[in-house]
Amino acid sequence: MKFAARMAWRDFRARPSRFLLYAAAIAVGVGSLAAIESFRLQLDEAIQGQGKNLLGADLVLRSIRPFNEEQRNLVNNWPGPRSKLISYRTLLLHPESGQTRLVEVEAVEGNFPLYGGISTEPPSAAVNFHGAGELLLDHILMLQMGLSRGSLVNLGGQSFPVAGAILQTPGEVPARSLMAPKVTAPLAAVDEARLRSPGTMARFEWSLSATNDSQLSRLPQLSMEARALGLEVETVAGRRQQLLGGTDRIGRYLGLMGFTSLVIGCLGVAGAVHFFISSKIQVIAQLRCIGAGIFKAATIFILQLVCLALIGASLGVWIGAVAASHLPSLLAMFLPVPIHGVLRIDAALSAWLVGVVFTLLAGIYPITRIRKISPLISLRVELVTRRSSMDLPGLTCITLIVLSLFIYSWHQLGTVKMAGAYLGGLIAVIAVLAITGHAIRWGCRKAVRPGWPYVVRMAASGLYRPQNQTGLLVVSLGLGIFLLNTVDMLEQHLLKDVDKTRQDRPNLALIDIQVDQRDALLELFNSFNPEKLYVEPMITMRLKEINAIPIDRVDQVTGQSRPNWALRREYRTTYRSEIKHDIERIIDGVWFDQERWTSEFAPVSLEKGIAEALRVGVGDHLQFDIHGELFDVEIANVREVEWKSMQPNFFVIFPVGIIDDAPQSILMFGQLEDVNHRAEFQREIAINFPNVTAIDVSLMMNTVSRMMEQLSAAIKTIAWFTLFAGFMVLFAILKAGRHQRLREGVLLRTIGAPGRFISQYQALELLLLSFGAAISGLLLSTAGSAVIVKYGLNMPFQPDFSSSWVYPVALGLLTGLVGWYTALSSTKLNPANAWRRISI
Amino acid sequence: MHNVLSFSNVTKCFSSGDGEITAIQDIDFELGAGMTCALLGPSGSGKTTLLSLAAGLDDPTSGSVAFEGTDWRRLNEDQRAAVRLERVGFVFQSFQLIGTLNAVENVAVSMELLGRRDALIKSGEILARVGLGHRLHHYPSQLSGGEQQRVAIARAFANNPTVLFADEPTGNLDHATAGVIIDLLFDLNREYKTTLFLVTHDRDLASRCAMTLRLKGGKIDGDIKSARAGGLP
Repeated sequence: MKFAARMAWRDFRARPSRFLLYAAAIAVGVGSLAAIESFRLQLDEAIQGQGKNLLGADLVLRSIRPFNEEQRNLVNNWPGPRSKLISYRTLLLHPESGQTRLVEVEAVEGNFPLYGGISTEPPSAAVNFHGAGELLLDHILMLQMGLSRGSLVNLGGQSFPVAGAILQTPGEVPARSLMAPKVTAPLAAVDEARLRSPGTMARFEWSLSATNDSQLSRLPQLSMEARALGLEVETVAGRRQQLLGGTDRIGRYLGLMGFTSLVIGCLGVAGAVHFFISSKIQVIAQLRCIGAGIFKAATIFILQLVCLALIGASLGVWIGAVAASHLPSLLAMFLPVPIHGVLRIDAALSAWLVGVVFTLLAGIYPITRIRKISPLISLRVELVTRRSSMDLPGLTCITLIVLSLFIYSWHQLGTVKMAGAYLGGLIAVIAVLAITGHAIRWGCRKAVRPGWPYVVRMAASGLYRPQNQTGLLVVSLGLGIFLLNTVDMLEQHLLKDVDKTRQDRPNLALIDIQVDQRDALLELFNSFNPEKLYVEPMITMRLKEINAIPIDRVDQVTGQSRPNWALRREYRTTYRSEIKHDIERIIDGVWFDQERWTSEFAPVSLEKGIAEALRVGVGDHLQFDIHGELFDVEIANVREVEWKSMQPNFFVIFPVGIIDDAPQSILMFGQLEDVNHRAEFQREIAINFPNVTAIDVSLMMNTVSRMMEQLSAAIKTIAWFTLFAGFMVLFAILKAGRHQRLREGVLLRTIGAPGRFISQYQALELLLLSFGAAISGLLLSTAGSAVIVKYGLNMPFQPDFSSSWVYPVALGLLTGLVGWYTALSSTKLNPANAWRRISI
Repeated sequence: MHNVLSFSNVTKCFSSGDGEITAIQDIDFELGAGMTCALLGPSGSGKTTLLSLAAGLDDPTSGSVAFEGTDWRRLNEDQRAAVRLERVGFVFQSFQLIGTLNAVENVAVSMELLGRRDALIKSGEILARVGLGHRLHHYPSQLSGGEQQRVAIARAFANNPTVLFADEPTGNLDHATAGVIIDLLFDLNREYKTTLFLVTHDRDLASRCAMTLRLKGGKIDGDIKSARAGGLP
């Protein structure tokens, strides 16, 4: 062992910088893993630590209609504390500046929330706003509208002073308030009667808490009863699960990206060990010749590998500490509870362990080759070039690596299917990139013509340099580009989709319009000369039966499962006689034809998606409950709807003459292109029609775009780690091949090549290589994105390559610069000195 | 006959950890065009240093080395490279072929650098001349030592140089192969009328040269022996 340690130390001493570069490649991967794992654990702990504060109660009962008598009785019979909340969206007007903004109002009783509290500035505002009849406003909204404590705002036609700013509500993701910032108002101060009127889009909630064990034990029974009465029930565990589910998913995917950068580092290590052993074949053969056993020879390399793994993983922990301090701020918008950017010891340890294990696994495989190095090679050099086939230990090693990768992916993603998909995808991408690497070399050799500039031909021949490890470089750099461009392309498609909803389409939606306000509002809207205007009645209803089977039993009876949201949602429907040909298309059945309709049931038109979710089609029967009155209908046709049209669209449409008298409200969607017109129109609405909510769709779409960009930036930050790891591998490989390049450069210099020529061809060689890596990464990511966009996002794949050129150009320039710099040493050195250096 | 190479009172020192080492000292000699010269001496006597100075690969500590009447020190690195490209050929003991180029491409390097369009055709012809017409597209790793050295010789003669510097050209070859290589060197020397400057341990090889320089401890040992000054062997 002493002998092996001494030999290992001598090897390290000869090239410490190369060793450290490989360690850095490992460190980048371990660092990103440690930071992401720490972030996940901290978030989990913070969410768990909030306990009942997350919900503010032990149980929340919710409905989008005012509670009926039975439901009210259920709440009234609860012996413990309870609190009422009504939330709705409306326009907030600042009369002084004339600004309006869509807000989500939470009108609450004095004891809300039952657990925890709202964090406000000043802190006393959270308690005092009830008595004073004041409002609490989201702190960002106050900043945007230039409001301060005491400012007067108008809400639903009433004037309120501002009591203070809401800083944080446990269990709520800040991004949510960007769409409609939150305003908390005393329930006593709002017009509850108006909110209870039919068609008003409000949410009614009762929070209940238990003060003793007996009450706690009654909660499950109460939940069941509430569900039976059609109420939505949320528990602390449910809220926690929902929050953990969302954030955990982001964490897991980020974790896999971090792991991918570790895989790149490991590939670099495997390549390095392979190359190192190849360059030491003679030495190993000589050692074996003079009596060193296989184990002794292998120990020299194993010791170096262990040191590399330990140093790389330990360096990674330091990188992780830096990354961990920045990650929470990148994702702050999506965090339901604030967390501090500190690297956790357990996360650091687990990432360190993963780094060490995978580095060892990656390096061991090439070390198994030592067994095949014959002592005879020291006498017969030609035996070096003999290729050996894979044997049992090599096969075992490969199996172990794939198995470990699978187990780790499974641990990260939670399901075998997802782990298989990740690993399969990763192996496929690596394989394609490796093949591309070979193809680049082969193609360069075949494509290059004698008439081409000599510098180009020399650069192409350089790709064949044995120490170049072209395949490994293409994989390392290509994988980083693949990830970055895939994130870019997905973001591009999602943003394009959002943009589509902004182009030449309605950008103002008026909801909660009472029937008697219709004409006056129409007159107001028309006075602004809208480019487009659509008006439709809206009636809410619930589904009771499918083909005479109650929805509670329909899955059981038919043996088919249907999503809960489709069965129990509140259907917002309309009635009309004409189909809108510009946004609707019948795909089955025929549009309403009263004269030919022979069924005893009223006909309805169903949207394709909801028909699929309910597993019904033309001829099937449904029963709807419209404010207590039951309507049996037959599906006359199934429609395909272009939901992105931003016109009022509905799952269910009735013909005229069936539900026209049911309680209803009016929807108005219009297009006002001028932003000042929109603002003025919203002001008029807030002043003259305080019960009507005007939603500025453009503003919401801008917010959605901003959120997507923020999430994409967070994901890309991690994806950059993979490219950094690739660069570390590139530098290490250049360092490893430096001797060969220097020798080549000095030889050319000796026989008379100008220094410029040597720099040019060595830079061009790397440029060709990195350009090839980037192009293959881009092509692969285009193919991968096409699959995700088409089958995952259900969108047409329309790639926009206008920004993709940045990657090959930037990568090409950077690596070209590195090549030019490394060539400088052979051109700047005095040739005689260089020859001496080479021969040492 | 003009002088191709002139050493005038040349000394070259290297600094090392223990102080300064004098590799060669007070060297004075001249080499006429078309001459053949062997540089003999034991290991460490300064042979390679002298060769480096002669080819403008290094600068003397004192004295001057002139190539065709121009002191190497008056030229910068790129100018020296340009001179070597057109007027100098090299043959190394360890062949020094570029592993990523095949035989014909290796020979073509200096012609390609000069931008000659017929570089590959011409290299093929030279390779055929050195007996490797059937090995044009073989890579160095696919050639034997003797074959590699023949490629190196072909490369050295490719630009029809004024001087050919050969650093122990047979040092890595067996006796029989070495004989073939020496014959080839002298044959080409006659054909191309090149000045030949050989560094060697081989007395037989040295005896075929018109002029012999014997180095010992960095100095010329004894007189410069000229068998047939100015003549070809």
